[in-house]
Amino acid sequence: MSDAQLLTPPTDAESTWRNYERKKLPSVAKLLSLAKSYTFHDVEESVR
Amino acid sequence: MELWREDSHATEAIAEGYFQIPNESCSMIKTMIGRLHLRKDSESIKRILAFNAVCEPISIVLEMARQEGYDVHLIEGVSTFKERDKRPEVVQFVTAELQKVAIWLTGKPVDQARLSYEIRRKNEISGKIGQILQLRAKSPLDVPGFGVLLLMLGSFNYFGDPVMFSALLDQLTAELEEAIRDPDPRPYIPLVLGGAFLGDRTLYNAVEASHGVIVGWEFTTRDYREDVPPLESISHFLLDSQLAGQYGEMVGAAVYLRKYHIESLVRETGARGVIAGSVTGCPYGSIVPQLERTYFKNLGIPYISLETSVHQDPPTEEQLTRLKAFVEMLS
Repeated sequence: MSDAQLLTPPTDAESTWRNYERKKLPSVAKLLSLAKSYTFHDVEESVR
Repeated sequence: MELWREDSHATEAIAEGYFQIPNESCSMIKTMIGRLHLRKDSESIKRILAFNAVCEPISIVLEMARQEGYDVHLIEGVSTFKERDKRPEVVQFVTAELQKVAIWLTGKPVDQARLSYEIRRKNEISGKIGQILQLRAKSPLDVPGFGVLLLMLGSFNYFGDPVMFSALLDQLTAELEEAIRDPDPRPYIPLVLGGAFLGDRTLYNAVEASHGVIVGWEFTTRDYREDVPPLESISHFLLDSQLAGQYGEMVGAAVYLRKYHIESLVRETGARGVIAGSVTGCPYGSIVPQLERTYFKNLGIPYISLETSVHQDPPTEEQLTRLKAFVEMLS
């Protein structure tokens, strides 16, 4: 947390917005994982 | 992108130390030549195919790579500023350049059937991403901005696995269809992003932490024509993307045309402001926002440019403060 955030406590509306509970879509996490796992090294291995 | 994803500070140090590239130069250029230098003795990939119509520093990198033993093939670029510039001979020229790539790669002309198949597959993927973006518009906080960027990157390379990527898009579509039945009710500030934030993803997260959502992207999907031979289809795609200001160049047609594309995105999405991302030290990328700023100011559309490096570093306090102040100003 930055100094600015420490010095300025969130307002009620801000806190409500930030803490809103929303189910995350599993495929978004899967997308992040797929992108992270695809590296230059994989391509190099595939042509070796 | 892979040239600067890992150990970018180390490869940048090689560029500055070994190649004596000035410190204030573009981090993308420095990390590219540093990475290519580090792996010049690798046995696996020794060939570089480059399509660079405009960026002079990248041309220098490619020449340096050639001197380091890489086999470099350059596709001659063409820039179309107006519809009338897309003459049949221009399409033929680009098509011939693409045919040269096939011969350079395989020693024979392109496999037309295989390329047609890949174009159909690409259009299918683009269609799925287009559908996802339409669904996301109804509950945009369900897919973060960085996720959308990955979807677009994945449309280029399928992250090496087209079947898995396509299935992932189907799953995301199904999940979004379910999610929009009960959309995320939180208010947000709709924004359009010109260019991209390179490097660390935190800046995308910071947009959302400021209650902003990127609802319009300069890089959007576009179908390839299937009514012309496949190589010609790629030529049309390239030239049409330039004319639509969607090509992502920082010089040539994009300097003139990108602002119209961004303006139309603002009108379509109801965005309240535009953020333009560019690379620190890019001699071209620093000029485009200057030109666009005046244009959007005259239209009364708030506009901010944010420069980032390619390093996977968290954003600076200055970047975060500017971003948050901009989004708060729009609320």
